[in-house]
Amino acid sequence: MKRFQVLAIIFLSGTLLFIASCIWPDDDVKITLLGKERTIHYMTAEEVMDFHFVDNSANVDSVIAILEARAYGINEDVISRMSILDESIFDQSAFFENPIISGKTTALDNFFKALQSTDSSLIRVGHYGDSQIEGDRITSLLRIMFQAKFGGNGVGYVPMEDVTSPVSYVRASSGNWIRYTVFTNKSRNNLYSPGGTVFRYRFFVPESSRDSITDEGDTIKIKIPAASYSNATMFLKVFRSYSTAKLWYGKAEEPAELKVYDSSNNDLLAEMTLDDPGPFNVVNIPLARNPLKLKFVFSGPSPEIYGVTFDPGVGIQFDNYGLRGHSGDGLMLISKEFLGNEFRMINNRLAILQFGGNVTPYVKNEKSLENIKNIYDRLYRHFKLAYPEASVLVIGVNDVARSVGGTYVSYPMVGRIRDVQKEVAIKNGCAFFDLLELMGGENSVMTWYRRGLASRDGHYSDRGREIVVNEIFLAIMAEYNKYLLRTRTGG
Amino acid sequence: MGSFNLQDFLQALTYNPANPLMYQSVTFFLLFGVFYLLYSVCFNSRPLRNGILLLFSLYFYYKLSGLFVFILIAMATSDYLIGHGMHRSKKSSAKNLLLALSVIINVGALFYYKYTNFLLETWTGIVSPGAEPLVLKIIQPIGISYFVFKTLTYVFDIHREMIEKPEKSWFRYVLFVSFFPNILAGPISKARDLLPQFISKPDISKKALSMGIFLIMLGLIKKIAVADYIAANFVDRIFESPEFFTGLDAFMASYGAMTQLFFDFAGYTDMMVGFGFLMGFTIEHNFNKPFLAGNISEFWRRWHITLYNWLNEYLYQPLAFAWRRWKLAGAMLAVFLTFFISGLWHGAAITFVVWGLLHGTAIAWDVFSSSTRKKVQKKMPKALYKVISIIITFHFLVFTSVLLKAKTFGDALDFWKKMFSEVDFGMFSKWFGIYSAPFLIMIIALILQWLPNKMYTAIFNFFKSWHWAIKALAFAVLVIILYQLYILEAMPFIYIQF
Repeated sequence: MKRFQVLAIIFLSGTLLFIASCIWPDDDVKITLLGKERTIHYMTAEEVMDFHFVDNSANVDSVIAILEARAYGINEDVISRMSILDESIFDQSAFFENPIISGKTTALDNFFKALQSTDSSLIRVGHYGDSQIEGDRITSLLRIMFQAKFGGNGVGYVPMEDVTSPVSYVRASSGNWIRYTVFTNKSRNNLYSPGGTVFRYRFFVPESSRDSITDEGDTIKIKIPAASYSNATMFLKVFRSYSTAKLWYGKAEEPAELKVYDSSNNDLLAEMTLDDPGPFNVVNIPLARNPLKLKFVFSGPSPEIYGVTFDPGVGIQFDNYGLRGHSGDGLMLISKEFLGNEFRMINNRLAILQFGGNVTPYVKNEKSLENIKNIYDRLYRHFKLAYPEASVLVIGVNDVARSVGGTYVSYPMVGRIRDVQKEVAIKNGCAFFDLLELMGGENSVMTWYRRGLASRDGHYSDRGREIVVNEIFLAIMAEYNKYLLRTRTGG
Repeated sequence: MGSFNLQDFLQALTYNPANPLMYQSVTFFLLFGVFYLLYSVCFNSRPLRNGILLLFSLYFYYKLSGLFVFILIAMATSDYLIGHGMHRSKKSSAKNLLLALSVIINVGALFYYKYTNFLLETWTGIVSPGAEPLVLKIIQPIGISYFVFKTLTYVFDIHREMIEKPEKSWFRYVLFVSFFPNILAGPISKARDLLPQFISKPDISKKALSMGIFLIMLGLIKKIAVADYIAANFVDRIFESPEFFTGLDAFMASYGAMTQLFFDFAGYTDMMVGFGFLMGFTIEHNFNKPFLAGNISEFWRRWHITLYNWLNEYLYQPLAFAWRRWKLAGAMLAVFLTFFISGLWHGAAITFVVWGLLHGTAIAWDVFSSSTRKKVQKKMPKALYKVISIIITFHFLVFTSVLLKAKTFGDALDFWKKMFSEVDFGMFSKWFGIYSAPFLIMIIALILQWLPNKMYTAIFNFFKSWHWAIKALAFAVLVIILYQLYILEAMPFIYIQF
């Protein structure tokens, strides 16, 4: 009769677990363990009895087939040959919403108006996001596609230091650069580049000078050996030619010096003094010629260095502002006035905000969803109010999978996050691109993963990002097409 | 979140390729409860007991692989008939012919489902490099590598007369092939070991039942708390997007990969052996502290033991015997061919072939360096030699585990390059600040698997002495503890350099 004991164990443990799910509090059980409050999660009875499974893999397969069929990749010749007014090419996108904000003015009209001036001036687009865009991965393709259509060259914004391996340039910086961001190491109150970073250099780097972030978000000090430097350097090799190089800096209370060399032969190309005490200055670096390999040498007291840019004379430029692990809210640390002033000075006419992946794991109920909604509401409004002459495009969250007992399934609230992002984006007069819908909706990322287009946590592969960028480009162009028809007919 | 919906529940009982049955899922435990109730009630009647077992085994396979259950039945039937034909044949030529037919059917099916596209891609790569290969839309039946090897043991053993009489009952033979505790990923039970257990009355002792529950709990801990946790929060994300990570991340992920592979497979095997015990069956275990191996030959006697035994008995030994005239060269050739096939068996990709060949090379090195190593061993303390051997062997395993995780051989080369040329150990304290949880779990798990068996025996004896109600409570508490890791939020991407 021993087997009935096993049966009894199965029955009793199952009953205990079911009773636990029935009485488990909605906000879980809080206990104090090792001096910290911890939450013990468990399934509710509803979750235990919920056998609903959404399988849209067949739908996602057909979505991918359609997207792949019309992906131009980065064929600049094809893009440049596309006629702006060809409606068969730039068909209205099912994933894009460009709301009317007043009369017949749409959310992107300011940007479209600026696009018409690219023959005579340089306009910029700031692409903000998390690890999905870091290293210039998605931005670089947008840059290539838009520049093929509207002119331009260069690689846009280059921070003095970062940890990614950018696709558009290679950089090696001396160890005395200190990086501050709106996300980590936030001590440079308000003085940030438009992308939320700022750099300073030190001549002596003491022990314990750097911060690190634990997985719980705490900042901890890390010991590194002390070192001294006579200057701060950055070696750079850019992979695209450019017409002008600029430096973004501010708060030069005492003069500092910048020398720029051709790093392949050490020829001095430019020498300049940084002495403007204004909080944000954009200066042309008077390079004797424009080589791809450069060495920047800074000496003297460190001003706030925001970064360098490699740009065309006229046309359009895309700047990559990727902050890994970030959800976007830190950007509100840059005051509206300061950000607006920066946008005005660099002529940034479109801000693309692509966040959401890093909040997805934490949105589990209506309360946390409401909290995220408020954050994005304030963030989108912040950008809209900072520089009303620029447009704002929100790219919604993409599908993200998590491991549930060894099986990867999409986060359950990802669709709801997309819904609130879309709602507050349109409420604040921003355009919205629905990345989740483009992928095929909820539970689509595993199909993208199986097709080699994305990793399970939603990061796109090279082919995946080509498909995504292609759709974003076509969607914006379709709206631009409509704008041109509307303005030409005086509508 | 909705409440109970009968239609959803009934839908969940049908096959869905996007939502296959997981042995650590609530659905499986629920179905197992129903099965065990029926199994217990019908236990004293052999036809009913085996009937229930066959019914649920086929159903579980259907939940895993859909209509491929009919392929499984067809292949089992062909070997059942071939076994009888072989037994009736008086001439050895007829027996050989039937053996060849079985090999063609089994290996042919395995070849078609698993290797067709691999061959097409390889062929295209050779004849027209850079061209898009023709790829057929072939879906592989789950567990085919395992049940093909399992059923082949039957025909091989009948041919060698290791099994004197073929199995009379077709039902029992199909049950042997589809037996659910080892259909998905082994252990690869031999027909001569498992088939007789379906005839005699299974022995369900108190010790076997306690061992069954103990192993299931241990397996769940290994799978969910170690393998799945470090995979989701550390290893998989680095192998899937290495471009986002540093050399140190890649270096540490290679250790994580080997740890994940072991705990995933060992956890699964513990559970399956445990389910076998609960039903009164003895299934051979696959692992015996493989990371204590002092060389790769010893590793293979400790890792995936049932596969090693299969390859040794049915492939290596016949080959080595056939090539015995070539002496050491023949034996080495047999080793390489065996490990080439072992690599291919693990996966249809160049990475697996290279992995198999590297292991074959390591075994060849064991053979050639044997006398030299003995001389070295004599010159140093035995314990020190053992520790050094274990460390070297472990690092070889870690190094080659990259091949089992990388998508392509090119990716593996890039990963190794990142591991060795871009690694900065000065960043370790920062790295630890971010990945402390997966790292500590990895280290604790490795230390625990290195502890002596008598410690586990003592824990088991303590567990065995508990009242059944306490065991049920312990199981429920374990499920709630594991649930914390089961649903844990993925760690966000964070820079390690800042």
